[in-house]
Amino acid sequence: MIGYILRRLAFLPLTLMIVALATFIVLRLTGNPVDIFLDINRTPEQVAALTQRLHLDQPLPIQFLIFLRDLLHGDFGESLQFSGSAVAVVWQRVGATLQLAGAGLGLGLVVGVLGGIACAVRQDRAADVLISSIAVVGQSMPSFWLGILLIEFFALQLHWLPTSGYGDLRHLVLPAVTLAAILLPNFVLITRTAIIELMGEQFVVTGRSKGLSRARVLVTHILPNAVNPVLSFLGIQIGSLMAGSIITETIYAWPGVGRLLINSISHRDVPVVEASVFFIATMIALANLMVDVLQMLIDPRVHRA
Amino acid sequence: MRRRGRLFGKRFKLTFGGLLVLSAVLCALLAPLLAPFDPYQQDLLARLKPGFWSPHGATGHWLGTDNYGRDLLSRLIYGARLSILVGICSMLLSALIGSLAGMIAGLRGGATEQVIMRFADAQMAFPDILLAIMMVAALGGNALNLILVLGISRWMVYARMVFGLTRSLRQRPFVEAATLYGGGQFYLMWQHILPQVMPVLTVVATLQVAQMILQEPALSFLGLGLPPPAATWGNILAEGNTRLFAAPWIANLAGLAIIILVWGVNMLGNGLREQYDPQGIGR
Repeated sequence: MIGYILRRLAFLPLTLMIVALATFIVLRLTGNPVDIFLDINRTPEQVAALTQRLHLDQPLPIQFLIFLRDLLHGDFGESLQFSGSAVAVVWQRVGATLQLAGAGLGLGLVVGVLGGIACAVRQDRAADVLISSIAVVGQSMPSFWLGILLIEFFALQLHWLPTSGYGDLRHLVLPAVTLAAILLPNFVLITRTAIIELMGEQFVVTGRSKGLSRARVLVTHILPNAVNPVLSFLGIQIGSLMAGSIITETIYAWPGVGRLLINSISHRDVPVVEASVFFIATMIALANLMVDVLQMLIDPRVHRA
Repeated sequence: MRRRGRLFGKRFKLTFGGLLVLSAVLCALLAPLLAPFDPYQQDLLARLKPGFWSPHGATGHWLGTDNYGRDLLSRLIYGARLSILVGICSMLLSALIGSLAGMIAGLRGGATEQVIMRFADAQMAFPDILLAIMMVAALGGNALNLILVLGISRWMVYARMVFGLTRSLRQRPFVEAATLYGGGQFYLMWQHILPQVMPVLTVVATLQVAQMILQEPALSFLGLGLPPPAATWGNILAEGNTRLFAAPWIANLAGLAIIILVWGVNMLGNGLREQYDPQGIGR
């Protein structure tokens, strides 16, 4: 088991290396960064500063090596729009992003799994058809439109909650619900399918036939076995969670890394763009690693093959 | 026969989803005939007018007008064009790249397989919207770039599925026989692998169109879609978002259009899956 974790950890630098390469390629090979990131009114001094910072006077492979070297030192350069290093600027926003992502994921996971259980138990009855249909429609919903609807209703009509911003718990409610709603439909449907498939398994039939109640079989036989499919789906969804939080942060002016990224792109702040992309990718890689390890602790058969 | 735990029958999904998609496609094709106004024609005297539900509505504008007095119904009808065009073209591009990569990896194996599939794995761990954001930021937003970006951000979904199928097909007698007869790799792919992969590929591709149609509004909302005044559903939704208080119907109607089309495509895809891929290989 420790061997497996070590092996996975060894893959982490490789994944991050590919992320670094992707960041490098996308931001530099798609055109001259001077043209992309400086506007028409640029001064020769700005051009010289950017050329020097990105080492544009060097050949590309050398540029990439310099980029990697700086990366290993955790150095993405100074932010162009804020004072301080890009890493420090990103680091200030990490707390807000983790708070939102945690709240959204927690809410989506708990409500989604409970909804899925409810559907599976009442399979093909009215409650199941209703909840599952809502989930299917929910999968087709542009995530930020829901955010807009929530703002229209709870903030503009009822004045219960603030439209946007960061502060006390009241500010967290709408963003967390919006983010949760992106994950919720998938969790409902995955949990429902997992449980329904398990209901046909022999150990479940045996449990029922030796006189255990439906509720008892559900809790002791089905749910423990449904944890793994749901967990592996959670691993797949980490990317959507981060993508969702970029959008949610933008809707609600939430001061996290995602909004910083979008903001830095429009302000052409290359070092901050690189640092925030790299941060988000690292978060996803780490979260995936955690899901895998957790899955193996729960069911060691998964990775033995 | 209805399978346990499947909501609604296969036939219902295929018919209803197909009808929704068909009507959206017809809207897109016949846009110049259906749209009552020019979607780009501004009328600053009739700005932000509500539609038929209000007595204050401007005459002729059934669904009201937007911030520049452009007819919302016409913009939505023309928006179907761009949304469907972007959705289908980017799906075709990613299906092309992905199935080629998957077939080559599956047939050749060895180092080729390792390079292609590990690359697919790594990109799988990278949120597609992040890649799309960076590429649009670097390349600029126009329809072609959007298609390119969305296409590249999803190829690995097909690659992984096609790879798995190809690897198992390679062991089958008819493929081995074709290899022994001296069939080249492209001959094998075109004549023997592709026809076998096609049903599952169709299912996955249909469901991916829905994802692509959803991705455009997300990028537009972040200011990285087609530049205004292009009448895309994403742009209408994003513009409506800045006028929520004065004209909430703009955002709501655009959202409704997106949800109906994506729901239709999803339903059609799920119906096709139950028809052609009952074991759920392409999941």
